[in-house]
Amino acid sequence: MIAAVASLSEPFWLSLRVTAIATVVASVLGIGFAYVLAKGRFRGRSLVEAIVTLPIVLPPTVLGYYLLTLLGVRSPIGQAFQRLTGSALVFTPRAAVIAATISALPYVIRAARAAIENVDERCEAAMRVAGHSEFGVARLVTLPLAKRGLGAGIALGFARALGDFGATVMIAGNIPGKTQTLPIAVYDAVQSGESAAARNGALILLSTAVVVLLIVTALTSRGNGEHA
Amino acid sequence: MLSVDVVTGRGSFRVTAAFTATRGITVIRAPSGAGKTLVLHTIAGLVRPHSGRIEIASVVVAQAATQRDALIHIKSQDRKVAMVFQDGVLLPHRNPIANVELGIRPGSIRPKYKTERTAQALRLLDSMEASHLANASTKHLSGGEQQRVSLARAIAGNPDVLLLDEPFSALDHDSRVRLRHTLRRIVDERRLTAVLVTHDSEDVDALADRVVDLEPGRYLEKVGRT
Repeated sequence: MIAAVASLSEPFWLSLRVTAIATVVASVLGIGFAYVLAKGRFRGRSLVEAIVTLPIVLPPTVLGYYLLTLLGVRSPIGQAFQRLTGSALVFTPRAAVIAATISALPYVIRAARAAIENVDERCEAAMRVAGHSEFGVARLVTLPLAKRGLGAGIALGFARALGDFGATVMIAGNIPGKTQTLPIAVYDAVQSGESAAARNGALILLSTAVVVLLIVTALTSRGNGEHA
Repeated sequence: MLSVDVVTGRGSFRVTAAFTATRGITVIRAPSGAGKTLVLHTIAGLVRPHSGRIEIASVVVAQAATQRDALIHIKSQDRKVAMVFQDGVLLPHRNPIANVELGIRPGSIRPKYKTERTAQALRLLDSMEASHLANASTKHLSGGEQQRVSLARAIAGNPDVLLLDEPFSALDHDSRVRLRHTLRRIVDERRLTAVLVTHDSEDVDALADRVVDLEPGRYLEKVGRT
């Protein structure tokens, strides 16, 4: 399945759109999960934790395989989606967003959870005793004090979403102009001997990753201990 | 008035506390590690007692379930207590006046407009001789300054009971003496019920209207379940 890479601009913009949406979704879900995992005391917490961490350790193709099983045209979810919207869920840009979101989620969760657990519990207690609701405490204390860690998690999630290959190929395919994201375009370019396109695509992804890691380092190194 | 008769703890640690605090300053005297903080946290509703009950202003706010008594646990938010910690525990990302404003209890008596709340917070800071700190950087306040802001924040909630957890132990001698005076004046002016835990005998001599000796807590032997 080798499709020619006409130009990098289409994959680039598609990747940017997919990654932007995936980052927003993964951030909202991830911070929510992280909050519950950090604060909640409930049965099955370690199981939830293991499940949300799975995408880090599973081969992306295996992750994609299970997503395909879960969301494919013959699955209940895939069929329900098709009945509701008239189009399939898999092998569309939407599927690329899902793959990127699931891949990014554990990175957001892990960083956000550590940041939330690091917040001085007494600051939260002081506001609770002063009459602020749990939601108020989260909004006034926990999230603002954890913001550097949250930022680091979001940045890592963005990088992971931008770089996803395996899960995306499995559930969104490699359709030029429709689901061919930048990492997939690099693969195609190499396969079809278009070395200039491969080099440029790789360079874009590499520099983005470096910038993101610099941001993460800046956020985590200055932030720690500041509120002690 | 506050009435406490509980066994509380965390993990296998247990501490017993039984005392009554009325208007004025009740000092709970105990060595470090005796479980004083746990007792305060239990009064504030951050920890549930293993047995016994707590009453604030004649309302049972916490009661462990027994064959006779139903479980009662009024949330921290609804207990009308305030807490001052060993070191200010102010929100570092908000300036002092905003910290005091956040101490004003949400609800019916809270001024509706932010300008009114700010004015109220400023008056409170002024009563702590700290109005000049209103817009300072919270992170750069000295220990004594932090405690003044922290006291103003605690008073802002108009609490039935003011809980103070070794509030002077992190301060130098001069700030300690001055802050003791401030606390005395505030408690008298506002006719507060304050509970102060300390291991410092100077606090006891300078402030105590009543002294309660807390028996140090113990670890349960790990035999079966508790």
